[in-house]
Amino acid sequence: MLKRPAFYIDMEACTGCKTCMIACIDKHDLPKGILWRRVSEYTGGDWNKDGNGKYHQNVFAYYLSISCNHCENPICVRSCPTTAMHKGPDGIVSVDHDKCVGCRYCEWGCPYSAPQYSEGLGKMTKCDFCRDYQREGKSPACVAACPNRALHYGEYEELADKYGSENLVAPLPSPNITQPNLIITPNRNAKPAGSQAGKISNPEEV
Amino acid sequence: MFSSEWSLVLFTVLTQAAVGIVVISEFTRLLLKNSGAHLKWQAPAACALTALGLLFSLTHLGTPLHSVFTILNLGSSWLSREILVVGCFFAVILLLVLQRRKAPEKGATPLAIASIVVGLGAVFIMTRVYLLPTVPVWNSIATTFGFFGTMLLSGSVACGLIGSLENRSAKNAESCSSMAGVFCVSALVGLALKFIGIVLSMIALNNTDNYGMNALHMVADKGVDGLVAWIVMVCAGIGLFSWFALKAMGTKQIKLIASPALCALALVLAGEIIGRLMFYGTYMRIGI
Repeated sequence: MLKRPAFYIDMEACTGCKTCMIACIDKHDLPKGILWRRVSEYTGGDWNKDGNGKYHQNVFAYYLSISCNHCENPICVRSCPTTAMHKGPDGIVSVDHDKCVGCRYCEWGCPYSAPQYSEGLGKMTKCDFCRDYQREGKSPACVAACPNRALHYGEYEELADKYGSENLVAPLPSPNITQPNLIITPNRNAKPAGSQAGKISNPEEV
Repeated sequence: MFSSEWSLVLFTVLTQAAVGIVVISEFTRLLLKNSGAHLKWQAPAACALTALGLLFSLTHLGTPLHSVFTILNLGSSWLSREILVVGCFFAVILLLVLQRRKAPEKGATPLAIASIVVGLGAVFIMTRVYLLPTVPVWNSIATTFGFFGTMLLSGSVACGLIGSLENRSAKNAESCSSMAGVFCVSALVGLALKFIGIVLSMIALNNTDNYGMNALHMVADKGVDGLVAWIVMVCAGIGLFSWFALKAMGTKQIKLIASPALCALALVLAGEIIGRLMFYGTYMRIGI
């Protein structure tokens, strides 16, 4: 098992096909409305008039496949009143259903929408980094399913050595809040963090 | 725009009202020691309101049977601290009520002071629960002003109502007049805190920008009716209460407050519930 598991997303390779989302739903048999991995479409742009009266468009779109980032300083663990939300020795943040009270406070705070409430259970649920698959030496379902090999996982330091430690493009939050174990190669059209140039155009889907 | 989190709305408003009742009535008791003014039913009323608030908070939980575990993360969770301190507040005022039943004049002062301190601590910790770095709408001093404002507004009017009923035939009109003065000042301070909180919350709402939406635009678009209703109800309630409290002070007849205080309490609580529904309804988190 890894000690500090992290996800790597190559935004240049991601086509927004959402196979990772479906693979996650399938692997964990998630009920309707619960998505441990979500592919958000960040889009924007407009027509601009130049000095000669000609119109030019600057339309852009890119995809962000995000699940729980098993943060180093997880706000869900800090705020959980019962200690049900915890970070294990394997670096995976998970919910202890024998303690979870279903108060949804972790859901309020997490800027990656990782903890999700199950009406049926009356408790929180979240990505467990396919711990069972990892124990069998297999990749997490989302990583294995990605047809473009845009999604990878591994030890944070190894991924950072290979791809750098960039993890901040719009609309992701500042990594200072939770120190996510996430590394990305930004899309060529990626906007800087805090940019208001675009919006998530598929909110009903994620 | 308006949240459906009724359990949290009722829990916070009722608990803050209960703290207000205890803080104002026990402070008045300490101030007007042995003056003949009765402040007997405030603490039991606060005890009942806190119990009701705690019951409402249980209805928010998906698995209420696990609520025993909610005080396990006192080291880092403000929610854990809130649950503990509200529980302690309930226990302290229950002890105070029992002590006064046993010996009305003796030994209650340390418990009264403890109930004021624990009550103020409870409201402070309740505000901290909402100061989440990922929720800029709430992560503002406006939340603190709003919660302490609710405490003083609803607490003072409720104290006035109970005080006027139990002192209808009180012989010491002078101390009853002072009592009405304390309630009136508390209500006006509460109103001032509320207004500062509303102005500061508008700034906090404008600081949010997520999914291409701005929380202030959301309020301007769908929440003006609620905002106006909230402000008008609270102002009307406190105006009515203060007017009759001043009148009672002038004529030294505290019984004059009873009916206006009942109307004022209905207006203030309704206004505060609308305001709290808007508070939860404007939840907007940064991130994805």
